[in-house]
Amino acid sequence: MIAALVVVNGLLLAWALLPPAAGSSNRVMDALAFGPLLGLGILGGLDFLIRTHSGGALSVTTLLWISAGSTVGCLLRARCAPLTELRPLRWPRWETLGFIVLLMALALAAFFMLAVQRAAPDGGWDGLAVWGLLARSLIASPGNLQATLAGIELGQPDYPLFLPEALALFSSEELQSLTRAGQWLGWIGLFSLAAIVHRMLLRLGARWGAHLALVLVLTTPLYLRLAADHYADHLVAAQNFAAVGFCLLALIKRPGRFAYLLLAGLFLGMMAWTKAEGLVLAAVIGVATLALYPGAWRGKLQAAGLLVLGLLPFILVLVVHRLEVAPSGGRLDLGFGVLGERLVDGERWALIGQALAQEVSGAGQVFRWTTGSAVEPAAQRWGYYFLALPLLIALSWSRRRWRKAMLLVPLVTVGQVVAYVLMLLLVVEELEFSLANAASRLLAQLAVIPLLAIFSDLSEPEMESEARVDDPEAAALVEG
Amino acid sequence: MRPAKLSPLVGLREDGVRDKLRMVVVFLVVAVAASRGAYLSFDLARYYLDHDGRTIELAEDQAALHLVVQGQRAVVLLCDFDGEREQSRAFSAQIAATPVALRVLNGRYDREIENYLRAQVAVVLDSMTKAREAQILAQLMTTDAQFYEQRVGRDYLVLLPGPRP
Repeated sequence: MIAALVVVNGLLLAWALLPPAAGSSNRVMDALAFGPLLGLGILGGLDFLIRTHSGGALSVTTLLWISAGSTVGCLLRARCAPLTELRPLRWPRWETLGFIVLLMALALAAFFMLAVQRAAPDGGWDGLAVWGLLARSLIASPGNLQATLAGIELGQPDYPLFLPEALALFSSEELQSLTRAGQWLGWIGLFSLAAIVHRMLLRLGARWGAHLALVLVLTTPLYLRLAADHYADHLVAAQNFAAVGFCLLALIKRPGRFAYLLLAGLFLGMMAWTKAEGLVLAAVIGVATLALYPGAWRGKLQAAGLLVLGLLPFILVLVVHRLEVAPSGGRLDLGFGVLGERLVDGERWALIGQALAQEVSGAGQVFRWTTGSAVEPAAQRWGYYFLALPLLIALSWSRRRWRKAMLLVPLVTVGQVVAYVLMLLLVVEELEFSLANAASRLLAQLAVIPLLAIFSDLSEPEMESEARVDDPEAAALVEG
Repeated sequence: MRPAKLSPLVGLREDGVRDKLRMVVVFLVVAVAASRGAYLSFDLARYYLDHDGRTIELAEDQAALHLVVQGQRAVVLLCDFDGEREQSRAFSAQIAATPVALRVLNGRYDREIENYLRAQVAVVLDSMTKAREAQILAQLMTTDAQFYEQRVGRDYLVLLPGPRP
């Protein structure tokens, strides 16, 4: 019941916040794509505050009151913007072949999830040792969370709690259901990633491209593994994609700009609430967006204010988490002069370069990740994904008259890679251990971002007038 | 002025053979990458399907973690770690003072463990000979009959506190 109410509230919030757009005029589908993560993020944060300060948890009654409020909000929103864009699903004739391929990819993903969840219901190592233990602590001793977490020497007791909170909300009073909660969240996470990629690209003008991107994501073994193993990196990838996509929309669309910035802020905050490195990734996106934001400093200040407004709920829970709950100590060595020392450490640079090259090329077996007892080469995690990306970028490059806003995608991609390299230079743990365990997952968090540049269609200044020809109803809404 | 018609594929303009050719190449690149990914995913799924239920080769620490996450107050893991794994070092330092604690006592059975057993914890016995396992079981059953045994997968014998369900 609680899990269902959390998701429903997320859907209502997404429905109310998302502005209509020419390429993506079905707001029910949009709500289904963006809603579950919004619900889990915001209500998970609220549940965290309740658990840490009253020792209780988010109750069904409270959630019903929140649902009533959300419904009223949605009705008010519907009065402001009539529901003409809410149209029944039509079978798209020209897309039949694409849909067949898409269904095959979905069937493969479902088959994979079922196979892994049947053999390893508890998920992978991090699913148990990091997220499982944190969720268990939240459920078992909410009033005494700091002492409990301080006693855990395994996993990452100082990690933010998006996924543990989601696990706690999805499991009932009966603790045995944590395994089932992890499995449900695996499905929600994978299909949120897929749906966010698809709906965001449609919103950004792509048509077939949205389907192609979706097929690419759903057939990349690593994303399936991360979801089936109850990890969090595919969630960060989805949040990252949503945040960059909304920032891009805010840069190019005058109508709906405020809502897009607010939504971007929410997803940026959610990234920081999901994994420690999410904070750095979010900072890169925020700085890049403000640098490219049109207008003088006053406009940029307004944009920054809206981003911070979206971030606000997560800033609150992150501050409470850091000050009142998380054990002290960090994963980065931030001592005076350490960065300078590490920056000139050739051996560290070589190891990081080797690990990233191995991931991207799939060649070599230096940094090994294991599947059960089997050693898994990097090529099996990514297939030809990183081989396809440069080819697709090259193919999409020459056809474009690039808008300045599109610079956001390379800026964010490069900025996030640089941020990762800096984090790896400063990491406290043994570098080989970190690279073997985390390099592939760090790349998974940002590997979807280039799809925004490849498959979206922002190069055409007449895009919105194009929409007028194809879809007069939606175009009228775009023009406000 | 009427805008140029866009093709359904990635917004390419249908105004030249070169663009149409490029559309075909985009399709081919995605098709090859997706086929390879699908093959690898299917192969990995088959590996998991070959391991029925919980018989996937769980590491001993993972089996113990499963119990902790599912709500056991604490777990004592009796096993012979190879001494190389990072996790074994973390385990060794863990004391059963919190609701989510783990304890590893590399293959030893002594008074300390018995005390834990009396404090209602669960035990995982692993990497031991059948004779040794039987000996420990016999000792446990004579000292305290409040434990019941349960197998996790093929290799893990777990003693859980409380009456047999």
